[in-house]
Amino acid sequence: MEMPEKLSGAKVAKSICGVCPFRCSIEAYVKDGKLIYTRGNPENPNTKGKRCVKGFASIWFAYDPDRLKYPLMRIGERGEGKFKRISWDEAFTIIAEKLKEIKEKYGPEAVVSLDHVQGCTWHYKNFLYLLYGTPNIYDHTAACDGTFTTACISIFGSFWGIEDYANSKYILIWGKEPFEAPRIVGFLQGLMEAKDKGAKLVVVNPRLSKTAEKADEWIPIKPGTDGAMALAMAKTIIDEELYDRDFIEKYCYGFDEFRRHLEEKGYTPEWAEGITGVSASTIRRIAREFATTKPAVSSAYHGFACYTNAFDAMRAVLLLNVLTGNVDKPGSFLLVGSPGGLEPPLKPPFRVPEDKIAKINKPSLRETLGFVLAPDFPTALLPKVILEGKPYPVRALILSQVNPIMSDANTKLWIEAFKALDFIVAIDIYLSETAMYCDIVLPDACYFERYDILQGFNHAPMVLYSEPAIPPPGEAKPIYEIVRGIAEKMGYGEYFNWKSEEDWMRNMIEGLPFTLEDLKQKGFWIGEPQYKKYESGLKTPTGKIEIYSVLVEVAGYNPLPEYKPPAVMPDEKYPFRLISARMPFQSNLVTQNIPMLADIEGENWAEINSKDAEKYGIKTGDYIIIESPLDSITVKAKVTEGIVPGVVALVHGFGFGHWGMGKVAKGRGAHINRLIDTHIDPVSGTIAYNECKVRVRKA
Amino acid sequence: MSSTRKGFFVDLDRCIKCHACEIACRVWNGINVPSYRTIIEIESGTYPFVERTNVSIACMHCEEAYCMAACPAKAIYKREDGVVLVDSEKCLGCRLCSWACPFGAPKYGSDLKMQKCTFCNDRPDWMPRACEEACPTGAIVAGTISYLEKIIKERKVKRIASQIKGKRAFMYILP
Ligand code: SF4
Ligand code: SF4
Ligand code: SF4
Repeated sequence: MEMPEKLSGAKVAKSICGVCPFRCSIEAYVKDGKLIYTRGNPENPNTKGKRCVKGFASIWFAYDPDRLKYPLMRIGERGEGKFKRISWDEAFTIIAEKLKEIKEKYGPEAVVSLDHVQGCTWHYKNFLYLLYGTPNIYDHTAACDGTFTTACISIFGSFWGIEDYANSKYILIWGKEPFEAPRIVGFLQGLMEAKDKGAKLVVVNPRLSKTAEKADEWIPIKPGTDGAMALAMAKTIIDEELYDRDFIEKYCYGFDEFRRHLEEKGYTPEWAEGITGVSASTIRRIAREFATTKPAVSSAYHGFACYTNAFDAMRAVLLLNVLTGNVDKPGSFLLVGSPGGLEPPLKPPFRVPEDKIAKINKPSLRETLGFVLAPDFPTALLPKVILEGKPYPVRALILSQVNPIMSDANTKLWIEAFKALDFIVAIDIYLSETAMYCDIVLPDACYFERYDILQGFNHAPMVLYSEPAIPPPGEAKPIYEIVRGIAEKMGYGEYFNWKSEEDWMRNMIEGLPFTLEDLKQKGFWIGEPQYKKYESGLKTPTGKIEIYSVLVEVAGYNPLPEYKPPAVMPDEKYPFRLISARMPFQSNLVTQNIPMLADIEGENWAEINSKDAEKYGIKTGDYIIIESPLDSITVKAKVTEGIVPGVVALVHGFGFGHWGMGKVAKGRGAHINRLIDTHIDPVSGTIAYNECKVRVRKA
Repeated sequence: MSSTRKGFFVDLDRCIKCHACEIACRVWNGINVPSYRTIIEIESGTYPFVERTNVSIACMHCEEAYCMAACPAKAIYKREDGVVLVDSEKCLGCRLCSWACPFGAPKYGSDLKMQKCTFCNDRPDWMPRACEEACPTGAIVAGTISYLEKIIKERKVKRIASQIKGKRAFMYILP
């Protein structure tokens, strides 16, 4: 087929999008050394030639003049943003010396590493864990999927779950946003396909989100109370004997205990009505519809998980699938991975002989502080650990592709903690707000500029491949080269002596049923999907689907989900609850320096119900001051009918208000996290971003 | 309307206002071009009975284009297949076309000329338009009117808004 002039003769690189954690397999077209066009990998079932808006816009990473190009060393005060350019050799020497010094003085666990799962972190993690010996290596789970993952592991012994929308007839979505936070395009196409085929879509959300707009029914609920509605639905399904008796008898553990528990606690729809603001009759009706339409799926995600009671609420929402037999069958809630992570298991890129592996000196902060079930350390607690030196001193941070000063709640406390540290390294593509507080800042390659091998988020096991389409700008280096440089200076060079990236990539896929050549050709490998995995036993303690979770019981929590009110409730002084929502075209803190996106919405805004707005004389476009007990921000208001009264939603509250990053991002909008105090879900360790009360007034 | 004429069909049941169409258009046509697409949102009703509709709008490639009539330099012309284009050699950058267009489609570009949707005129017919290619929900369909009519039939569309004053090539599904 004749190609348009623009693309003819272009070189096509297979790549993995690194904008959000969802890892779309993509193609990057390069002509005359310039990246000119990208699209989803047409052969990949999740992308089919498409990718999301953030992904398309991220072509700007290849052009952005604000990208970091050289290693930097801080010369001003922390946060002042004054740096001088240094050579890579100087940077590696300084880092190696500092790391050695801290290890000798405090032990390796005094170095904590935070990174993001966007990719390319294997060398980095293995170096710090296997060779340096710190057990404190964490990613962004506490800010994201912690609750979901912990719930999946405790009920199903699987790391993850995916809704098979396309084949479902009844889709119940709680605080999850396929349309407002468009990720893997295949998933949202599945949802559209289901609607085309006549499936019913019900969205439970305090806001008329982009997904709720398209729903057959929007159920406005008071924020943080979803658990009550889900438990009352479970009770209805059991009381009216609408559950799948066969499925439960054969494959589930603890049904009778659950039935008794619901009875004893009195989780009736009438009880839930008083808490949620959703009428008992609606709760009953939705429960009946859900239980009698097959296949159906109920699922929740991040927005829902931003409360201290979210783990139990998440379990309740997922248990609706269990009660009705909607597990791991087409059209239902599909189980993905094992408790250890996604499948198939990848191997480390380099091997360290047993006797050379660093001894772990002290257990990780996660274990020491009692988060045995949490997949990750609740990073929200890190500032306190740093400032108090308890349970042991933390003196240095290594940060890769993360910006905790902005991405975590309680900005002031984070800044205080950063100021108290001995040594901080940031590896990033921008001089982020966090990088401004670091001692050494290293310019990273973006995802168009590196090799990588990652697992895909998919029901059937999937492995993805990335090769550089273009070289990194200036002296920027992909992270595996950065780690190699530091490791060599510390005397670990022998593990990093690969001749070409292919050497370590081959190590990673060793023993898997495909070759590196297969990956290179297609950009990915996909295995066979396996349904009904519970038939052959799951990786839970009982091998069954655990309605009554043995893991949770052993960890010292209630094995059955119960309802607890959110930790922060509005009061007379702060009468509103603050929640966050998203712009479909922005990805957290990653995409705000892209001019095309800034052209769409130059700043973020707060949504408020028309009744509340009237009371305060607020009109759309007015600037309002939102004040919490911690701090205040000024932001534009949007008056809408599509939000529960008493709630203020900051749309993309966690992505605007940059004071670093780059010229485009800087100074736009307001940042929500300075308003929010430190709260976490005690079991999953997930940050409770929506536990915040505020008052509002016109600016 | 002649069936070989080209136009867009935008399915309002599907548009989620994600702006992928707008961004893909800008990436394809040059990052420095203005947005050829605008996505608007219309809210109606009162809490809790609220509805919102999203519409992605670009040049409609109207049958009788107001922009063409308004252009004093005759810089705007219509191709045989109905696609309305600006000849930037002739364009004065006076913006009269932009005022005449009910959708404000022609935009003032950084080259001081008017720029607008070209129907991706550098893409061969077999390739979808950049906006259509990017739209994750299938809300944008581009092609000849007869092709659009076929899709409309397939999707069992209930209400169509098309041909305002009989002169436009666009079609919307109204929810
Ligand atoms: S969903 Fe979008 S941002 Fe996330 S990986 Fe895919 S293309 Fe990238
Ligand atoms: S890409 Fe599609 S869904 Fe997104 S705004 Fe454009 S038309 Fe609407
Ligand atoms: S057809 Fe091409 S030029 Fe016109 S709006 Fe779509 S992408 Fe832009």
